[in-house]
Amino acid sequence: MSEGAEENKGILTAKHVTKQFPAAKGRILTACEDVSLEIEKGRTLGIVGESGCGKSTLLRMLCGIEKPSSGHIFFQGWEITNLRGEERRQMHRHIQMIFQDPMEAFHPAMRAGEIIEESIRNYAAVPKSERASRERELLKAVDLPESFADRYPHQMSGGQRQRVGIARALAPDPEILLCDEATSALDVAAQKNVLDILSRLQREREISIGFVSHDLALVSSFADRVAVMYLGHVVEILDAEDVADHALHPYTKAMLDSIFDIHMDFSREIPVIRGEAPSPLNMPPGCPFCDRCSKACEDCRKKKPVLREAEPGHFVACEEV
Amino acid sequence: MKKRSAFIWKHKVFSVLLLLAFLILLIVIFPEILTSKDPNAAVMMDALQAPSRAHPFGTDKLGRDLFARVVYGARTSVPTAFLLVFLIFSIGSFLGIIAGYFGGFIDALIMRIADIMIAFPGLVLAMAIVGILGPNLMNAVLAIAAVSWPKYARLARSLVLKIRQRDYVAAAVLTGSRTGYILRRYMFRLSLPTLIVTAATDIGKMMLEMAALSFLGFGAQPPTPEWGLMLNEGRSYLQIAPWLMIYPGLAMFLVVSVFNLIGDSLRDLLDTAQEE
Repeated sequence: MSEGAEENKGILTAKHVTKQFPAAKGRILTACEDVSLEIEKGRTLGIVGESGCGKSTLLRMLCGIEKPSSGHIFFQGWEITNLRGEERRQMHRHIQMIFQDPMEAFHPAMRAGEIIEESIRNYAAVPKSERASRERELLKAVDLPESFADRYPHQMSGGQRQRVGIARALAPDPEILLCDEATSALDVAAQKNVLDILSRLQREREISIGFVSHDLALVSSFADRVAVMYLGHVVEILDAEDVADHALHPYTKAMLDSIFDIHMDFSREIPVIRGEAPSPLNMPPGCPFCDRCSKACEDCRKKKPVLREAEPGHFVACEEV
Repeated sequence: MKKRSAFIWKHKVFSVLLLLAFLILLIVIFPEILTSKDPNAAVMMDALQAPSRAHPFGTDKLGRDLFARVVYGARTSVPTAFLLVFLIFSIGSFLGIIAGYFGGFIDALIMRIADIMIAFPGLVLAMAIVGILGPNLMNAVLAIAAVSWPKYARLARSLVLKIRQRDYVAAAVLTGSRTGYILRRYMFRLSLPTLIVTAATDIGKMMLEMAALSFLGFGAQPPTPEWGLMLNEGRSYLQIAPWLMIYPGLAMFLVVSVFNLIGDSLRDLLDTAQEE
């Protein structure tokens, strides 16, 4: 691997990943374009963006459910982009995913116990006699009583379902957990509960987390690093603690302005981002955000900005800041 | 027990139909309950007698008791229909699930073969197949199976195409489930209710197809008591002995109706169960 030196820190790295889907009438939908980012070991990367910006597609590529159209994905320096068969199955045990809709994520006719057991059994790391105790241990790890093993997903609340999802994801003892809007279908209390469990697991097991959400405030309080996505592009990557005060990209700033806060001045007009995001079927040649950006100039419409390091550890894809 | 009676009360029609189907199966297994006569015992002296106390449905041209032949005819028609449905259900669902799940070349291959089978008029192709294999009951079953499986393959494929997009399939892949397990536990298990309903409504249809082949002389061969064949044998006597066609036809009508209605109410049952 030529770029081996750069992969030291990142446990999961995406390099120039592009995903295109064929759409009707021979058009092409570009979900992700030239995305490069990394999840660091034992830390949390938050990925933020509005719906349809390609963040879920990116996550699905990172865990190998979708294959990128081009680009490479490395897990601990091991290229996992195009694995097949048994090799792919062995790769999956390292990278697990928690799904957005916990109702969609379970076989409708399986009890929680079977769901978790399926995951324990598949990698045969646990002998039959110990499966039951392992199952109890996993339920305990997500604060669910043992009796939940006999319940069906539709007999649980959203938060409980999501915790069963976490238990299932933990069963193969993964190094990485990818959460696809894992909390956005939950009420605030259940949200906090799930986030608490995730951060405790991270402390206890040194798990690295990729956390996708549309909620910038939530992500910057929960994650260590934040990547902001817009229309399939990563426009800014920075430390989570810098988001509030040092964000540079106009899109990130606009998002920050639209966060509601209990202390905010409600008499002030809420700034809105003008216009609609362009269609991913028709990618603009220049900066994807230029139509809605207050700072856009002629150059922005012609040339696509690339991520550059504005400050140490702070990357931004904008020429005007 | 209480649960069962509640179920029967809630689904009265279905329960009655199930009881009727059970009675039909009972007759299939123990035809002696209804008649002590041998369906193949020919008494030429009694040929073509009208229904009477001794022969409730009359006798045919060889003097065989028509009632016994109609009763024993169920023994031919019902099991072959079940066998046929089982065959097309298993072959069609298996191929459809494989095609839908793997897609690509395998999908194209299986579905084009299915299209070819569908493009032929079913009964004509079945006749051609029996013509090649030789006319008997088993070959008729194979022939009808060969032209009927694509329906299940298409249905299973379309169901699987929908199921495999769901997150829980992605989750199963991620947690290391092997392909065979996913096909069994997810694809087959979750498309089963719809496939079963189709199979239930097909029992009657398959019975008619078998009877049609037998009527044309491509299925059951004399002296087997089979309704389609009996209709054909009675055809030339329609003017002087109409009972030869009326009673086998009536038997077929009743049995096919029962199984069709079971299929329909089974669909209603599973639909409401899914909504709940």
